[in-house]
Amino acid sequence: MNTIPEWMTKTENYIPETDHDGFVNRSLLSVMSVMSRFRTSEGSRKGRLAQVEPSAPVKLAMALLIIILASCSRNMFFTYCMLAVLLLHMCGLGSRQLPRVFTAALAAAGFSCILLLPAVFLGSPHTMLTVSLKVFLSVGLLGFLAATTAWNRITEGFRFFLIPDIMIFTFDITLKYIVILGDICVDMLNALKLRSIGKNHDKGNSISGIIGFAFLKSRHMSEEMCAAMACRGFEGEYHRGTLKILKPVDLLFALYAAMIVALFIYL
Amino acid sequence: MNPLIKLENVCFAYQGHIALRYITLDINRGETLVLQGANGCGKSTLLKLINGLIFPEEGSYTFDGQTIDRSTLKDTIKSKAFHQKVGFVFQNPDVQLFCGSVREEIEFGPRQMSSSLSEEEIKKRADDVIQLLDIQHLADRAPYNLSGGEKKKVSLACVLSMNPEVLVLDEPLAGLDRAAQDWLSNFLQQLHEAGKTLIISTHDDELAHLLGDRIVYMNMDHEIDYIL
Repeated sequence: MNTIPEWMTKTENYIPETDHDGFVNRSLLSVMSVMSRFRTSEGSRKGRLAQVEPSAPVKLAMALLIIILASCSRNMFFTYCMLAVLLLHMCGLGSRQLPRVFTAALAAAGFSCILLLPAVFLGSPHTMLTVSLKVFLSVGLLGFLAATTAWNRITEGFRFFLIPDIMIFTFDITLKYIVILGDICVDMLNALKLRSIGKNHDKGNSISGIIGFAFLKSRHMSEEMCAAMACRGFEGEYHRGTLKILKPVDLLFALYAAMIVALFIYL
Repeated sequence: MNPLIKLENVCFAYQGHIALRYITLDINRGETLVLQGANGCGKSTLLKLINGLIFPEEGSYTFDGQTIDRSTLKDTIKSKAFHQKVGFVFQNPDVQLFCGSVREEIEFGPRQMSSSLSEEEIKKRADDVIQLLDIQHLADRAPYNLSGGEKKKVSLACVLSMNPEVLVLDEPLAGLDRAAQDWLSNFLQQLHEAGKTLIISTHDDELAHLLGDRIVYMNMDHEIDYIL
């Protein structure tokens, strides 16, 4: 075994220089916040609200129904009613989820407003208001669905709409690997942070190294999974067990959906 | 003698799930401390806390007389100085390697210390570490193309080139063959004799008894069960 060099046996007398490296911390925080949303613990509601929570397929169907009906409706009163329903439901969100859903919906509506600004000058100001409100409603509903339903429950809900099992399986794998790769990226950013002990003149190179490695890792993992699936006899066909029976509260929500359809037809 | 690392009643939880419960531990300069315990008992969390990646929710962590908490490490100068003193070798070497070649990877740390190291010194450090770990043949290769054992050596090399006072190793023997395990055990012993403070988490009893001045056993209640 080689001998340890002399400099390694001495205590380092090093005083670091200042450097702007907030980028690593910001990247870390953003990756970690996305990861925490993907973790299945979030999404399913707890406490009293969980008792009156419909199952995921019903929630998904309701959200899609309202989005389709609101998009087709020419009556603004119907859109206002649906907005009131959305805002009422949003009141039940937690302090962390509410600003997230509301900000996303507001940002999407604001962006639509900017895109439709020419309509105001061309003499059709109502178009901007109508479209923006409908965008707010659609994004808000989807945000609400994502905030109150675990991701794996949402993909399971797709089965209600007769989406092929293999497609749902692909969604599930995608979510799983987003979490795994996210964890790897968090560890790599942590490693970069720990090794950034001075002035890094080439920060872009380090970050692109991490992105490049994550890409290579994802390719490697996909190849490994493909091989593992082949070893387990997978030949392109995938069937899951029967769909779980819906809850009694779902009937109540089916009635709720029927009322929305009736309101749409009436108006 | 004041301990280099002092943990007092440290608690930590991940989103409500307790990972560390009232950990009190002193680690002296030059000591080799081995952490043992079942999977999920909190060993890796404790190592992350010692490295300043997470902070105690209760209790305090002091390194060389300085309290290590969120507010201390917000100061980038203090944070960088602390990270130079405490090197962390991750369990999965893949996450630690992100440069184009092994040599670049080893030079990454010293190159940032350019205020106190000249270009010649940086090159000398890289050469010394490459020779020490016997990885001359890997110097120009891309890190992601190496084998597991080679990656482990490179990840160790890139931490050693920063010359940290404390070396924290998370499961250093995991995924290595017998020959590589023996080599690493001997190498860690050599580092210990050179005066480095080593904190090692391992399931390997042989390594624990060979290297550990003290062995800390953690239980599934995320507490220190006993210290040998």
